[in-house]
Amino acid sequence: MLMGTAVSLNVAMGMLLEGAKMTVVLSVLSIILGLLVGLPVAIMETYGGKVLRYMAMLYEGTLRGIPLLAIYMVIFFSMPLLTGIGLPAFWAAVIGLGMRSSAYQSQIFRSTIQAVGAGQIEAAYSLGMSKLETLRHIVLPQAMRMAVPAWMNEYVIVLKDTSIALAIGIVELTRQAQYLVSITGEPFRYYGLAAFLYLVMVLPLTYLAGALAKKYGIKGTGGTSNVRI
Amino acid sequence: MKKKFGEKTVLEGVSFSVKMGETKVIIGPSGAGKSTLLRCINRLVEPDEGEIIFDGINVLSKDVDIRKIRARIGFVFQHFNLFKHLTAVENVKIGPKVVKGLSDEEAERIAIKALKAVHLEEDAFEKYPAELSGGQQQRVAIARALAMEPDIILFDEPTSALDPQLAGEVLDVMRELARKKVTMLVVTHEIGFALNAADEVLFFYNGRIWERGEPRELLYKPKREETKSFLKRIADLSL
Amino acid sequence: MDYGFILGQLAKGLEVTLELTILGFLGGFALGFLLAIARTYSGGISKALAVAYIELIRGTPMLLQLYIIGFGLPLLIREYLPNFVMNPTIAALLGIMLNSAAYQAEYMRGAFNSIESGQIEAALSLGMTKWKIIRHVVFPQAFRIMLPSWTNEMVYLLKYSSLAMLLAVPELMYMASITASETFLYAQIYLIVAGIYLVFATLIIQFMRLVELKIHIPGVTTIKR
Repeated sequence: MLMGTAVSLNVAMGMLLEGAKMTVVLSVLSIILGLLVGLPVAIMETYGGKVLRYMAMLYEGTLRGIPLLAIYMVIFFSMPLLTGIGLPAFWAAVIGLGMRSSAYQSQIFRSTIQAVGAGQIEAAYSLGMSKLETLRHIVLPQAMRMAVPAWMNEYVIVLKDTSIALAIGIVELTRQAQYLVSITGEPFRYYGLAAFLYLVMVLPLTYLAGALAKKYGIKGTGGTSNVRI
Repeated sequence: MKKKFGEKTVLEGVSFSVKMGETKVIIGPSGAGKSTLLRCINRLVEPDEGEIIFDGINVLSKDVDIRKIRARIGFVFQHFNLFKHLTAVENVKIGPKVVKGLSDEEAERIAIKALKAVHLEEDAFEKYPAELSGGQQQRVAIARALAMEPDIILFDEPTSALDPQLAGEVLDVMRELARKKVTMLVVTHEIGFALNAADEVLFFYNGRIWERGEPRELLYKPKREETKSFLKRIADLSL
Repeated sequence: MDYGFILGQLAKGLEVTLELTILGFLGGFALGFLLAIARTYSGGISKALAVAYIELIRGTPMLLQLYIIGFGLPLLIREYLPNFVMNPTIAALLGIMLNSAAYQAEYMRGAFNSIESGQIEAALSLGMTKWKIIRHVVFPQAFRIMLPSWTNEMVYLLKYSSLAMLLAVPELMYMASITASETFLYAQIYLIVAGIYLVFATLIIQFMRLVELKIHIPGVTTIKR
């Protein structure tokens, strides 16, 4: 198509919303995968023996030290060549983002699990609860609640980072905007619209996270002025 | 002078003066507005109306540079408020150096003199506040005020965050200052200090000066009911 | 294929990556400091502008910001300088600085706000001006409190500078991708690159830990075992 082609606002919005839908789907699947992996890693780190703890820390440290883009390249290019297992781009995107998020989620849950006071655990043992029962009925319900604000912040980060999946061919919001820019030659208009859509998704979440952090977050694990990762 | 926080009147028509070389002590139940009064004097809190005359200058007038006034009024806080990132000496130096613009050597000389005046142990000079006892911290805070060579020092319950033994160290220093005729306005619950160091004692109640007089007069023969019951409660506590 | 050639290419890329990280961090610090001061200690229009900027940057993906600067900004400049060509490395660096500034501003604000009010009261009582208080009391303490977030930010920039690849900036990821397509050693090259990032992230973390220990003051910061 020729540079400078006019696109009606309706058509453009339709394309951007299509992209936003992919952004949401990708981010939701990734954060869930991250939760399913991250929570057990956090439990391993707090309750596991020396070996388990070391393995969990290695997993966390590795995924936190590598750019998502490099994780994608390894999953999308290196893995098929080394193992013969090739994933479709969509699942490669979910797994890359989900695994990366699991490393950060494990850190969030580790700190809230540790924040549940020793008194709570002593009280549970005094009632005759086992270690596992204490974890399930006493520690996790409190830790999960305290983790909500930080977890929402993590979701916002995942949501924004879905844009990086365009590097392996996923057509999400930023990619759609890029396409519109390439056919119209109007970067401010279409990147601006995309930015607006991101803000619509992100801002309510950050404010909610901030409000919840004030209510039952613990210091350093949530809120709008929290450290990014 | 008057001060309101929202609907609550904290200070309601308070009037008194402190002369050069005088030690005046304010006592009274908590919430009586004593702390607020001190903070109004150097305008950490803005009073709503009234006037504060310091060395002939109206502190509340708009064309006064309040920082110049503050540099001449020492303030000693209940929780010491030493600068956490500075050692004892540096805490005392910073005023002369940063506010008065003195040279490093001159500021150091003044600081050491001030720290000696409050009898701080030499090995504590280079320590950070977190490494000092509460009594040491408060003495450094007094030295910090002294180093500015202020015309008056305001004390806001300087010993109420300390256990009795450490409070003693601080009160000894304050008594010494009173003997040396340093002008002081002291809010405290230490009746003993009021008895033997104050020139006059003011009893604050409900944002007013409820009763005032010579220490012996007011503390041994209070006239008003509220003063009596306050003093009785203090005496009960210290038994 | 020759691994010497591959490593040489990657080393060139690494140099650009480190430049983007370090300069991006420093530029982000300078602008972030102003934003933090505006948001914490000013009012009215300058505070509102600082808040809007910070929320806008933090609410959108860095990649989108890089695209706007890489593809939008040159058009704007060409209105005045018709022959202007944007160097992609400069565009990426600008984008990284502008992005980091918003996050660093928030870390600084958090640190400023964590300074107890008694510290400010004591400084006011000595007769200090606002700027003297910021310089002699707030900043020396905030700086120490903030160090761990700075470490995070540096590691973050090291990793996210890889997005500059998508503007064709010859940084580590970009050099890896062109070298991979020349040599067909995709598997090996991307694993090596992942390792390089990991090593440098670890170096940053260890180095900053030494700095933390070095400037630790009891009562201001706590040192974790």
